[in-house]
Amino acid sequence: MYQCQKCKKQVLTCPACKYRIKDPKATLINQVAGVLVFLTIIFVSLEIKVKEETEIAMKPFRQAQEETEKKEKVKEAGPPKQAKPDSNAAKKKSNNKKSGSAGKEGDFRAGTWGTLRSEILENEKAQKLEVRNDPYNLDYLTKIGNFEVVAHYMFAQNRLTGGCYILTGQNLDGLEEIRNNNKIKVGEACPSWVKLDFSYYQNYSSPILNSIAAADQFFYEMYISLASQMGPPESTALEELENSITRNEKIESVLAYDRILVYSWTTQRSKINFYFACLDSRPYFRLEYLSLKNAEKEDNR
Amino acid sequence: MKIVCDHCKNEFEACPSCGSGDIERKINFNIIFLVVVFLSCIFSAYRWYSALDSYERAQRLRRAYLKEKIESRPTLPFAK
Repeated sequence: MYQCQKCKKQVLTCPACKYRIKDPKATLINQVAGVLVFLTIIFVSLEIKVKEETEIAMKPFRQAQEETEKKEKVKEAGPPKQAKPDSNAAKKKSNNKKSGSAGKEGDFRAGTWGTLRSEILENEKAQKLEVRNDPYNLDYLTKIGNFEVVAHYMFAQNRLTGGCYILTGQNLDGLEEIRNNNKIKVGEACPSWVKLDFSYYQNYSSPILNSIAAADQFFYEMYISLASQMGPPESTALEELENSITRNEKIESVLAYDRILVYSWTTQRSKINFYFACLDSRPYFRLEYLSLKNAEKEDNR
Repeated sequence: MKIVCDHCKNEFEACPSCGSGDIERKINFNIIFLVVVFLSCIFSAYRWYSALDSYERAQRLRRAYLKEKIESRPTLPFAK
């Protein structure tokens, strides 16, 4: 903008053509200011976004802090009686760690992938079973909850490559009725290796796995335990059908029509397969841990 | 001061009203605006940088928390 110092009037138009006069310097300053305004808007929006993300990251801590504050307030209001430390619980905890099946670091029980067969023989405390006398397998009798299960080690070139827990049940009653009612049939047909396992472990079938309800309970408790630790399975035998059929339909189909269901998870070091099958009215469960290298070979089984 | 019209390219030095040659450029307001905008830009950049810093700290804390949480998960009732 131009201004006459004498008459203090602004010179806004050209005296010759009467068009508005532009000041290049002022225009340049305005342009620079415009760029800076734009940058300011960007910085402000970035700040808002970053603060939102920080808020999300800190949410659990804030909640924990709030809970702690609440607890402190409750304590101030009235001091609670101090509970005696539960010595039994502590003992149980320590016993669990010593049991050889839980709490120890290892890929399968006490063994990591690649452990020598002789080391497993030395370290495994469970009762050894003389089922197969070959260098590729070792079997032990152990417990999952109330169920006696077979812990089966698999070796290749004298080194541990996989392991599984196998649980077989008694002949189930009531399956004929399900078949007669023409219930839905899902899952794959029971493969031949299940029959082989039944023949190996026929003397170790669990006496308490003797009803459809017991099989159902064991299957779901195992499934929920695995899913709570590792999330939903990466692959399921039923795929899209998995969520569309009911729990009963799944169990009845497997038990009545000799089918097999497989749920798989992959961790950093292992592939975990949970099989639920039935053969000749006898339920079969197999929780299998395989080293990732060995998993592909076993998948082709 | 010589003023050049962008439209007709004529140059003139005298005030069209009084004929005086004492014309000056007045850009005080523009400069003040520029300074204010510049300062607000610097300030918002600083605030963003601080927010970024606290975001990184929060993320580190979260990662440490999650790691600890995962490691202290109860084990399955069988070996893994």
